Amino acid sequence: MFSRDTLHLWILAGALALVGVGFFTVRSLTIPPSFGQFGHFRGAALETAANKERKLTTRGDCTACHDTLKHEMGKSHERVHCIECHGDGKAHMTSCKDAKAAAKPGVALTCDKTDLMPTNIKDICLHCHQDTIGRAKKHPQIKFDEHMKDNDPKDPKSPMVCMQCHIPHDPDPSNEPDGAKEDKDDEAKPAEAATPTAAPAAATPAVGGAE
Amino acid sequence: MSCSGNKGAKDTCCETQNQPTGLLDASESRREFLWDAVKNFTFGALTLTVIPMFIEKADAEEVHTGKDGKETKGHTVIFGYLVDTTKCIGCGGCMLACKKENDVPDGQFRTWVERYVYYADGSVRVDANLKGKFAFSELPPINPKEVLKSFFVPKLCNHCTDTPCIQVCPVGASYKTKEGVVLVDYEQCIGCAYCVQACPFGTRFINTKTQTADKCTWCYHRIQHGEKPACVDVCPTGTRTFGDINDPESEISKALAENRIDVLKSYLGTRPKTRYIGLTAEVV
Amino acid sequence: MMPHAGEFIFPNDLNGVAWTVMIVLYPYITGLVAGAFVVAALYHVFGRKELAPVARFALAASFSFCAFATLPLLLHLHQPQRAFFIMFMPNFTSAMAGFGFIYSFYLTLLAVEILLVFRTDIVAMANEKGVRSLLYKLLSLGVLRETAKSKEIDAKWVHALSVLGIPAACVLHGYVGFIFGGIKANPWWSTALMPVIFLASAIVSGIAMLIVLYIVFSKIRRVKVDDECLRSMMKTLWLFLILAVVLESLELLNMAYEAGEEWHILSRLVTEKLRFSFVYVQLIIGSAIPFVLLLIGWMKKTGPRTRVTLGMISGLLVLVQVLSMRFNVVIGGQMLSKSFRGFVEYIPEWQGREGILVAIGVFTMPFVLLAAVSQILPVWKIDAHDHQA
Repeated sequence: MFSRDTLHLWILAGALALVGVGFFTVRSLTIPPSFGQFGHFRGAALETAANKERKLTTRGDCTACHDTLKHEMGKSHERVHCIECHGDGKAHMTSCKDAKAAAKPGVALTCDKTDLMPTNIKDICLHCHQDTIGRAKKHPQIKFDEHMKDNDPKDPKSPMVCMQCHIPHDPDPSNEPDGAKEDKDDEAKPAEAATPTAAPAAATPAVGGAE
Repeated sequence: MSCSGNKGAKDTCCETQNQPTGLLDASESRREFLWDAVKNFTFGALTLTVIPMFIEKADAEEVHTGKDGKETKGHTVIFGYLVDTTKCIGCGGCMLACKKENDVPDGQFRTWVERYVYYADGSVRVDANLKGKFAFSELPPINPKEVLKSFFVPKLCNHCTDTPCIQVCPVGASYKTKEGVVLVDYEQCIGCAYCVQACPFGTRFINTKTQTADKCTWCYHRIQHGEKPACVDVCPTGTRTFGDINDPESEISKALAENRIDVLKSYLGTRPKTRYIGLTAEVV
Repeated sequence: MMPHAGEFIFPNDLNGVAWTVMIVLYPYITGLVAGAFVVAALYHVFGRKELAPVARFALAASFSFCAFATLPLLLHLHQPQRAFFIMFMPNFTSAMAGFGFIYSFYLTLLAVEILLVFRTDIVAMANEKGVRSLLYKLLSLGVLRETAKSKEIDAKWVHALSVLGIPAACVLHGYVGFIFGGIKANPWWSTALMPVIFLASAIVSGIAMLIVLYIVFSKIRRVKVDDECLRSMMKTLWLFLILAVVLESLELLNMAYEAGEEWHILSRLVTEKLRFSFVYVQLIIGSAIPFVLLLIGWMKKTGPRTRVTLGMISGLLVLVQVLSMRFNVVIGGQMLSKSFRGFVEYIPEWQGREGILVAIGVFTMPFVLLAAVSQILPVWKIDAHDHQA
């Protein structure tokens, strides 16, 4: 009953109601506008997640210019991503982009290639080809020391020892390196450079379609 | 003072008070006034609290169909992930790629590769490559003669259909996109770690850099732009396949159709969308 | 163990457990809240008149613990500035989302009940002169007079709040148990018994805490411990201790008897990792010994002085039992890697936000508040109108 006898209870109720109103005021001010847009979460979070910076070089980034390389890759290594041996090639890509922007017809593109060649191919090869329990029998694996004994390379101490017998792009043991192949990579470039304006357009369908 | 109990419905309350009947005179009208006050307060409180919550929910269901997520080839994209354990050589390239791509702190893992070694005596030894680079050869040696069989099992977030982690998130910081990708909103997460407890697969962790829950996103920022997740992109053996399971022509759909498929901890009923080829009962 | 099978835990478990000593403390404190309230309710609602000497104090204790129940949670959160999101944008499929509301409701209920139970004294002191009376003027809500009618109404409200408080206490603590019991990924937690176990041990801890505090405060105040009151509390504690221990054991027995897929790792958890805290502390020191001591203690033949000694010892042991139970559930459960092939290392941290030192500090605070409340309000007074209700 609302009387002098219950006044203190009403004041108490009022104070609690005030806290309640305060709560809902702060609540309405705090909830992000996109909350609940697509479900019980912040809708704007989707956009943030989708637009996060992409860091690692994709296969598409490589094949955008180097589609010819694909033909050079042997069957056994066709799924190996370029970055496994060549690094992420960020400097290379930036310099190529600049070079293309300044390119003149008939002049070869000069892309920075300094960071592309591995200095220790042995470690990279053994990464996948060291004899290890867990690897399927059909996967080619070696015990390094035994392999050196069996095959007797010219310079077994060299970190590039594997390349004395194998071509990394097509390492099938029957395939001997012959020096001539290494230049092909460079030959491919002027051909592309001849039509610098068409190159990016032609490359576009290749993005994301590496398979 | 008479209005103090009715802050939630100030206006209606004060209207009642302005009625010409002498309010505090007759006990009958006093009771009426009280009853009104109670009604108004309850109504006000309900309007302010319960109803907005329902409106939010209703909105959510309506908008959820269509606006969020991509529509391609006239169907809804549902992403799926397939791990063919028979192909994995345990090189750890995926872990390294994931770490770089997603800035994962040292000692924390959005993906990792386990190795199961079966011995002739029936025991199973399990270990994991934790260096983000091939390091199984550095683990305690195994005598190959005692080994019956052995294989690798890559692990990552299972992007469950019925997600225990979203279920337990108290603030809606974990959510599922229309394509079925389970994500964490790093700006909403309070860092209570309840989702870390609820995930049966050990894929969630409190990121030591961001101090929020974190886990594999299937590289949402890549797949939204037509790229593949970093781990799939770098895998040299084709162990990891990613794509639209709603498109029968996709690589993953074909692989799912052609193989015997299993998921991890199926008994928990979370219906993972990360699926496996070549699991055994010992794989956890 | 098979000869070659080593341990294997999921890589993310190498960083240790995600829930630390703060999450051990949180259910411990809320348990004390619920337990202390039950003692007050036994008096107010169930007519256990012999508990009159501690009835008011029980309320004050319940409130003091409740006031700090959220502090360990806040210290645990990795983004504490977003703590209120849990009430602003609650996701109601989460067992955790209701906490803010249940907790607020309960704290409010306790505060209101205290204001009403002590109202006569508050009003009397508010009418005195001096600076001190300002505080009482505030607590009296600005209404500085009481009438026979208002006292009657207040008594009714106190009774109603006590009645309402019982299910609320059960919800508050059963709910804490559900936070763990509802996690299907963890076989050490995932059982429907968990809320009941938490509730039973909460009541146990609350009564034990009141016994200890009653004896300590009586020594400080140099008053005689009311023998009937102590005996009644010890008898109740004995009963609830049996209930709690039976439930805890049943859960384990069931797991062991069914011996399902995860039992091989759970049995190792109990016998190896938790051998000290579970077998020795929780079952033997904390349950078996106080069971005997309490039994001797509540028997009529036992003299009042012996009863006080037994009450004090068994009360403290039971408090340790419940703390170790919280530890065994919260930390023990996380020691189980979800790989079920090995254990997560738990290394208690001393310093830091979630360290043991801070935890001790947090646990001291309710006692400081309780001491303050007992200075401000006559918590030991046995009120006439209480008896009527």
